[in-house]
Amino acid sequence: MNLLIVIYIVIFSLLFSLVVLWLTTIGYIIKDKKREKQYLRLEQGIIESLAYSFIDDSIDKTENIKKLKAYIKDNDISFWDSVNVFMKVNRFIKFSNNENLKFIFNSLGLEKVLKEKITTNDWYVKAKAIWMTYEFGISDNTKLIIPYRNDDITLIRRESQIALVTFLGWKSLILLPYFTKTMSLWQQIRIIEKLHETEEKLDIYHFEKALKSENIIVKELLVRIIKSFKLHEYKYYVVKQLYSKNSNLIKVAVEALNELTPESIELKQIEKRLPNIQRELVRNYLHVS
Amino acid sequence: MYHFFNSTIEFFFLCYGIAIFAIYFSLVVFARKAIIKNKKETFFLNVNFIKKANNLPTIALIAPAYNEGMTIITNVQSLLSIQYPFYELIVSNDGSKDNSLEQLIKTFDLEPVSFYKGSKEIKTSLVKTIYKSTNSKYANLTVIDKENGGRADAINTGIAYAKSDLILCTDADCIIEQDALLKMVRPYLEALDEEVIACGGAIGIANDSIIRNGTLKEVKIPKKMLPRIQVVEYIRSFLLGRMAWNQIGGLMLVSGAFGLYPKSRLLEVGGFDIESIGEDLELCIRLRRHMEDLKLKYKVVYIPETLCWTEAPQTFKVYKSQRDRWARGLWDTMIKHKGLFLNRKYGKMGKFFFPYWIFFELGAPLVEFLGIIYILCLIFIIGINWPIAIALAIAVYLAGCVFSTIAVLMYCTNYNHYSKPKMILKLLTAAYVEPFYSHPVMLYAQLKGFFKKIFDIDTGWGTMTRTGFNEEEDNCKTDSQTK
Repeated sequence: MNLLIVIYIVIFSLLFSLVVLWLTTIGYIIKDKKREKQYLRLEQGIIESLAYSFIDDSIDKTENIKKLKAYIKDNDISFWDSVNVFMKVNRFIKFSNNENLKFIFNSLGLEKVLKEKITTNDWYVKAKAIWMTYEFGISDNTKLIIPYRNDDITLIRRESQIALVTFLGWKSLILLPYFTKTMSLWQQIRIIEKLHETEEKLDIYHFEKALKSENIIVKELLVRIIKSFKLHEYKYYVVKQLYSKNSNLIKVAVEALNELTPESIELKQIEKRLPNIQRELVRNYLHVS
Repeated sequence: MYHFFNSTIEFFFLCYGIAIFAIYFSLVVFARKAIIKNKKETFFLNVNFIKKANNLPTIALIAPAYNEGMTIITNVQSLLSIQYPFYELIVSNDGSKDNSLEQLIKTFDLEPVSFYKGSKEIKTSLVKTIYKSTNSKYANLTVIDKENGGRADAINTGIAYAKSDLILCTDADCIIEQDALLKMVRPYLEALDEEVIACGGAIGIANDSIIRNGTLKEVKIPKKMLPRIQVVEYIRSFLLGRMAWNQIGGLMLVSGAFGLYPKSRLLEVGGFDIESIGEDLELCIRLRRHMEDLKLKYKVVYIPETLCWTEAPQTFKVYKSQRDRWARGLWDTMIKHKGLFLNRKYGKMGKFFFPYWIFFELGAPLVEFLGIIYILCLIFIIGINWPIAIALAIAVYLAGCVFSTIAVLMYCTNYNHYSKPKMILKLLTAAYVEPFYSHPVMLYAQLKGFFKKIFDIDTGWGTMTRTGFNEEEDNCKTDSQTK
């Protein structure tokens, strides 16, 4: 084939690609506007119905549910959109504490669909479903979630572990020695938040079982828990971590000791007893913090 | 012999062209993957959750300032209003000759405080005084008054005195989105086995956009063609370039105007290199090299959302000066780290990422220049096949248009700054005009920069004249940053 013809073919293909890209852009703009309008209508509808059920007790609950069902169509986009609206409401009024909201959520069948989504093969949908399960306080799904606590996919593992802490409270800490994989700082923050949200008091039995974990990241989490709940009786555990070879664990331990032991003399005494490398690290962190 | 020579040259250009298009096409695929992944991950970690959280890492925001008197107060007020529960703002006054310091002292009720020598790992110019505010409203503000030493030295001083876990380097004249820190900290919160050694965010161009009290209220497309073209250039470079490199772990550059680093690692490598003109690229490569030497797992992360806004050059004079400086910075850094080139010890960085920078970032302007020379030779000496030459030029132009269109389309469909049809149309027009309008000037500036390096001509930072943002208060500015 002539070289010129080859170049002409390339030019034609590129022009064709450009036209396709322009058409895609136009299509996207139209679709996006339509979808935005749909979402706003759905959001307004759901929030209005929820608000009515709060303001006016005389409103027929089944009528209200019927109205809501009219907004939520039987497809995935509509399901996630409606769940997102419920999540927004949940930020202000906790579903788990409100019978009214719980009733509406269940009557719409959202709880059932969430259950199905947890068992799906799509990691993203599964993780999202687990997350929403604990945010809405659907504790019936706990058994479904337990098998995923050591999952290979980070997001599924993370959300399952947070879900277990949400549903089991302090008792869930007994599982910590069995967590074999690492944990992000965000996961630790969420676990501590969920422990604060639980109404139970510290469960010493389960907490002390957790202290036996050899996993560095679990130790870090425990030190953070001791710091956050000001568990002075476990200061010995924090001091023990200063002897670790892991610099991050030492840093977290120093921060915790700073909070638990405001008297710098005690901290200095501890520092003196440390081996050289650890002492240097502690000094470094104390200097910065 | 002559025919062989001629064919070899043409074969080289053909191979180079195919390689560059193949790489760009792969970048599009990787960038798309990365954007989808990022969207999915951010769903689980949105800013509202981070805002409420405890135990977040502390962040020091370091803003070097040199003769920024006209805007310093608005900019500091804007930086102080950023949403993040635990952060300190350090303004490093780099020996300004104007009244920047006096204005800061007066507005923020500053008083000198006694200070220690700062972290010994970083050498800086002499610090004259450190100021803290007597007003509890500004408790997280520190102003360091130091002798002039350049931007890198001013940031290094901030690092030496910062008390936080993470350091955010920016410029005093940048406009940072209110929730930028909450988004930037995300990779650090989610890190597992790999330590995040640097995190960069996209930088947008705010020429002609509406700014009120130091915050961006409405993004507008620049009226002039040159800054408008730079919007497309930034989108292409940040979204297709950095996002894609981020996906394959090959990100080598975090912009100096907006980069977040762990303080401990910055201290280990001694902070920014004050001798370097391209200090952001140099630091990122040095940090990566340091982690490779320590044999530790690490990553450099890029956030695709535009979190920081800056003013782009409005005139060709300033544009040329900026691109000349960037070219010299690139040359310097590549020479400084030449030991990485095809060095197996540095893993993928030595084998692929650094050679890419040598061949396609440093090499592209040179190859383009040689191509122009060769075409001129063909026209005036050897003779040229015009139909093929014209068809090839059109094909190359269209290929460039396709990549720019993909970049604009990807940005506009995923982020809402330029989502109006009129805006998209303006950006696409700018993209199609770019090869004839600003590209030749950019090529000239890059070659000039390389020429200066080859013949050791030192022109320093050059002058960066800014005309000022479209500030809704009466403090439009004209400042110049000169080292």
